[in-house]
Amino acid sequence: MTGDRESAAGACRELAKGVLAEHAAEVDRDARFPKEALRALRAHGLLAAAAPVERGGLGADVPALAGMAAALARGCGATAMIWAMHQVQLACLLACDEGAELREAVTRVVRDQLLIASATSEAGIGGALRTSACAVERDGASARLDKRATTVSYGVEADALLVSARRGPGSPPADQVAVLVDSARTQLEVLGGWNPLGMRGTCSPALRVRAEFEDWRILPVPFGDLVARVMTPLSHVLWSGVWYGLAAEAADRAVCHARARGDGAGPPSGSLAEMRWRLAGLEAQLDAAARETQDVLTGAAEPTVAFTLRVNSLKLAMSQVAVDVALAAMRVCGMAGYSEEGPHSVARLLRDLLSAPLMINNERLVAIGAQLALVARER
Amino acid sequence: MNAVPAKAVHGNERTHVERRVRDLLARRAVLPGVIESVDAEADLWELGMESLAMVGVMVAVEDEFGIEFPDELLTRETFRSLSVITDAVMSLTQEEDRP
Repeated sequence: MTGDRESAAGACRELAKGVLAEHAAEVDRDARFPKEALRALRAHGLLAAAAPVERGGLGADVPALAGMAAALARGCGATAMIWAMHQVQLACLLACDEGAELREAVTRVVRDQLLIASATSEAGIGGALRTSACAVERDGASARLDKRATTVSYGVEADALLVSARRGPGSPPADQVAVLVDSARTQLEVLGGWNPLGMRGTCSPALRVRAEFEDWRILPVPFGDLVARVMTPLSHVLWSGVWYGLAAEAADRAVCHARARGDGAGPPSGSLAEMRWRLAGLEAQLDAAARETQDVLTGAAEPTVAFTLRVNSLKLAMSQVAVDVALAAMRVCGMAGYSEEGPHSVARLLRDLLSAPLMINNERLVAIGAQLALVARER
Repeated sequence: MNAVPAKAVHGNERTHVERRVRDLLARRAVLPGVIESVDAEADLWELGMESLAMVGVMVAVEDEFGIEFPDELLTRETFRSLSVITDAVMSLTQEEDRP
């Protein structure tokens, strides 16, 4: 087991240096899906990393997954983010695959390493994932939904999507379910362009999702419970793993640049030390949140208000401080860092990291955190 | 008091606490038009209670009953229904009544 996990982490490091790094610049420039990288991840069984060994996965726990996300990000931030988001969807499915048909479908996802995207955002609502406007509508034996999602990462490339919707046309906005829809039976209509500053390879335009499905594809756990227990904490931890990897890579490039300049350039920049202490703090916070999230996923701990506040705090801290680290790296590297090319370029790392404060906007997280802080009991 | 069986006292107190919880939620406009008459066992999340509203409920219940929920009770489960909230309040007030 430990050997498998160690080799999975090692495979991530090797792939990052190899196929991910090789295509990262082109994926970024063309804002295209990193298909070579995803093919390589599949070949190493890495799309099933979060699934237990007995279900055909690698059995990686949350701290291991966070480490893998960081390792992948060093090669290509977009690939790492796609992998991280997919692990979250997979974990959601594994947390509630009761019923023979759903269980069989999830087994197939693991076995064939199908890529799962999520459509939780919605036009008119944005990224507030705890409310939906669209609803599951029933028509005899089958059900359907029609959702205009504002941002669906790699939705067009995915084999299946996890879509949130109101339980029924008469349900209030917060009574939601998640539906596992098969891409083959889903109409996807790209509603807008995709030409963002960074994380360009995630291919995350607005999509209209029209799907027909059987009842068993509606996950048996209410979406709100799934969000509190799995989706939010695991997203924050694995996204943070990606951002940590990008920031650490930026810091390493700054060190390389400083060393290449040699003694003639005077004493090394104080930014090199600043990046290290910032990264050390982030690493400790990430590790603590990853362990706690693991306990919540296994049921050893409950997703309490204080827990939610801590994983939200991880997201806030990581998304801001990782950007600071990349900016410091760019100052050290100077024009070599500002350049999009060359071994000391920090440009793409920084552009990718600038998406971090927007993925579940920090302004909303701060507002939620302020409410939670009114009742949270610190340890 | 001696003549009344303990169970009945408990039952009355429970009804009383549950009514106070219900009134409190109604005053805070949690699920307005629904909360006043909803079954005590009904799932408030399914009825559309939003998670930030839950935080307001937590604060209000603590203030109303002069209790403090320990972290392990500050979960969606504890606030799933009027009945579960009532259970939590009663377990905490009984703890505090104990000498």
